Amino acid sequence: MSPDLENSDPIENKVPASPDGSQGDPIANLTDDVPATPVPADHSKKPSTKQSAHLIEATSHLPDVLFSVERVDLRLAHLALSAVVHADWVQARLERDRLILVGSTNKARCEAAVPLHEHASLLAEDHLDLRFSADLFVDLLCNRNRWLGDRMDRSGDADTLIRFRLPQTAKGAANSEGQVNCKIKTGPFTARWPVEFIPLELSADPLPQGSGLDNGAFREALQAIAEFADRSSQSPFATLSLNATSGIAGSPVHGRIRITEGFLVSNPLTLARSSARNLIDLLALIDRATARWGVVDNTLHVYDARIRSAFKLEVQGPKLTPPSERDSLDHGLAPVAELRSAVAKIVSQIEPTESPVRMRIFGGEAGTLELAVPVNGGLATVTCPIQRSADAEVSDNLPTHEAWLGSDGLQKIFGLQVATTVSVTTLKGAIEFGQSSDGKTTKTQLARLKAPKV
Amino acid sequence: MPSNESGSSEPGLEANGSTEPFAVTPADAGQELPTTSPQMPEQVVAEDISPFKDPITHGPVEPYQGGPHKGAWEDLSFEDIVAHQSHEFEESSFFTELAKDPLHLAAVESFTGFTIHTSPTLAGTYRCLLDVDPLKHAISLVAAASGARNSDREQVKVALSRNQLSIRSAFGGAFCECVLPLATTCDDVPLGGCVAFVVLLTDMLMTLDACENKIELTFVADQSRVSVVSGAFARPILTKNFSKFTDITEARIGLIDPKLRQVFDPSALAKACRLLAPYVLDDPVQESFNVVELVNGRLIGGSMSAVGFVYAPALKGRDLRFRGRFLPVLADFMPALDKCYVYDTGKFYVFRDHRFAFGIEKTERRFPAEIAALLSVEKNQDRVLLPRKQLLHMLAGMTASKPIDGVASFIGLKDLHNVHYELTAKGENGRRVRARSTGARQSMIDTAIHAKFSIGALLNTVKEFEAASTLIDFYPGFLVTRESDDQVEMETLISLVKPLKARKPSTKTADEAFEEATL
Repeated sequence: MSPDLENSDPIENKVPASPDGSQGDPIANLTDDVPATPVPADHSKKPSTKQSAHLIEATSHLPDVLFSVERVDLRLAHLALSAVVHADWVQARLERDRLILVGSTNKARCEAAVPLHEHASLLAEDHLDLRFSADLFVDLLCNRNRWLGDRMDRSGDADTLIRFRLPQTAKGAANSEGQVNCKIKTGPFTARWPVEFIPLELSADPLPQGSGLDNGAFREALQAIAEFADRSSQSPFATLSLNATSGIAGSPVHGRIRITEGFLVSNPLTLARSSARNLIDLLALIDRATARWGVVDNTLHVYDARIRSAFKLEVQGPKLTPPSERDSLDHGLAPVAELRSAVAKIVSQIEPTESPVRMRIFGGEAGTLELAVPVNGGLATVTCPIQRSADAEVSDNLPTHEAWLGSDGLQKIFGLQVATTVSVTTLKGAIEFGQSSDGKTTKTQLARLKAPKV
Repeated sequence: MPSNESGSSEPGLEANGSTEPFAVTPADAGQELPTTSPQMPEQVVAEDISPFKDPITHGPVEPYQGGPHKGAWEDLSFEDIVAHQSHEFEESSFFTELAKDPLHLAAVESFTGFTIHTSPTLAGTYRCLLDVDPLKHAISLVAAASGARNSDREQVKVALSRNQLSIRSAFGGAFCECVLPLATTCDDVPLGGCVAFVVLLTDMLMTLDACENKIELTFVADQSRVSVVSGAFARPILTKNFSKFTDITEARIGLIDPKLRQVFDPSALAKACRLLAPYVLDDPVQESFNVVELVNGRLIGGSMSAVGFVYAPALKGRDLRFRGRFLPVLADFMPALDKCYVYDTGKFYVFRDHRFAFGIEKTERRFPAEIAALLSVEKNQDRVLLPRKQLLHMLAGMTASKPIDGVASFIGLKDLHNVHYELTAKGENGRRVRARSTGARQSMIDTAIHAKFSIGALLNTVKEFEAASTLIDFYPGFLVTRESDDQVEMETLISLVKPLKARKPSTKTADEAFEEATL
């Protein structure tokens, strides 16, 4: 492709002229060959965020702002933002040397910085607050499929940069909705996309000193209990609690509780289920080497060199009181693979309407665990072996135990990937499924439900 | 002659004494099957395994020298043969056929109609054992044949004989039958007899989800129940009213006349259907377009915006006409068939090999003939050759702007050897995505090309092929892409949103010319 063809860009919206009056190529010279256009001296003072938009209004003939970022950096920042906030818009602050993507909800906030490959043609203390539609990032800029195609075509010579050209002249260039057209170039694509100048507030609070964070361990501790809190945000049980080595979450409505032990967490925390799920996604993106965390003013801060996030902590909800293990009626060990397969098979037989699963444990020491669901014409059943604990005298004639359990909870009894067995304890009010491995323990208690009318 | 008119006094029995849908008797096959291999395919028996030929190499039999040698079956153990001829074993078409075809190929030749099970079995317990994977495959085909219909209410008829089980469905304008061998002989069924029951398709699908390796089906006739056991899993399935099942009767599908059958290559039709499916809409407004037609080896179908023509030499000489909604069903079902016969019953087309039968309703409508004539228009043909991966990448990128009506514009400027082209898609709120690249010029016409077309239509055809480049011809009012691989050739006619504008290239630079064309 000829360079002139590649770089040319017939601009349909109004392109401001350079200060010298020449009509510069809008996209062609976003890189080294054109130095950043100086901004008039009277705008060198750092404006407040509210002033940012007014700056645009007041200056009708400023040169366009040019900057570029690495695609991988923008993608990482966007993923971090998406982990915390699900919105139709992406808000961003453009500074001279970085672009900060910002998103917040009433429980969490995330600011993800993207270093600029080529600095923005702004003064050192200047900034612009922008708002893009999210699909620009999702469908084009951060979509790996587009990159793959690009890589294939160019056989290793892929264009890894995304170049932006942003007109500062809101007056005249903006449409009735206050949008101007930003020009973006990456690979073979040149996009024109509406952008709004909407002021935003960055976190003013300094980051807590914090302590080093093992994001893998913290993520594992959250994952072990997050699914067990109530889904409804109105519920007092929509939270999960962690302390130094243990955690608990449960939903009395759904009749399930998960208790963990041995998961290393240094600070006691109570998080909303939604925040915990966001945090699980975010922790996968946080840089291990520079990850830190701390709690200030009832807010959990998790951050690294580029990503800064804050999650509001919850007050501890009503205390969950799981059935005591002292009321144990029966205990046995089932192999994970067989029990997992049995659960999957029986769940596949459940009709569209939610139906509880009957669990029966019978036989001697080498006993049988049977799962059953009502189907058209009777019961579908599947069995797996269980090694029952028993006194020597009665080992051949152990009592049969039966309980009806929620199918949703039954699918979540496997808390540890590496454990090879599941302990099954029959309690008076519940069935407890436990797993242990590497000093970590998960106990999942499912409440006994009423038998359905068949 | 269909079996339901065979005049048999006993329900479910054919005149030849067999009730098995795909079964063959020596009388049907025209000769006795060899005793050494009772399941030997009939065509192999007739053509390849003559007394004068080696059954493995198909060459002349060498004289016996007192030791193991090729062709001396009775002198060799299985281990001997494997030890001496393992590579020939693997390559031998005879053994491939035998492994693939546990039933009788002769059944295909002697097929004259579907066995109709006219009355339910009311007493007895019948147990059979099957491999799960073929059964899952068969049920998935039955489900595919039901198309987009609600499978919650669809019923399937299961017929059990001594050594095979058939599953039959008939939904709307399509039907199918799958025949599976049993893992062990079912002695509960009387010799030459057959028992049948009807169950919900959804019950079968759910049940098979939990089954592995082998499955044992026990039909308890007086309880109207089938008990399924597979390893540690067990469940019952209630049978349904036998008389309410819509069977594959002659009154419904027409007369199967073996004289009118034709050999058919299902893989070619499967590929053609898969390529054509994205262009065919089940649109009652454009009824004349709601037809797919196979004429002279060319499958034609589409809508007002895009029409596909898929030519496969293997399909030549077999003309078909059916409604567009069967296209995805055919694309799903045809790969399951081996080389098969197609029968024209007057009402249905029936495709049948030794395991599966599949039928779709015919239509008398024809695809608009004038559309096909457009392909031969020579006027103002402008041809370019564009690198495929780049074009695909660019078209995919165009969709990011969520273009209005899914339309992109193409501007091509040509120099002596190349075409410099630009794709542009415009969305709402001033969004626009544009990409530029270069292809090869293939015509001597030096006018610029300016066309608007559906991104999706071009994307569908470009992504299905693997050649390095895509050939596009521009005509007034439409463009045509021409693609091919070793099995098919495809031409896709895509309507232009605006008629093609021919412009002379100016002396301006390419950028200026693009800008002028865009404005």
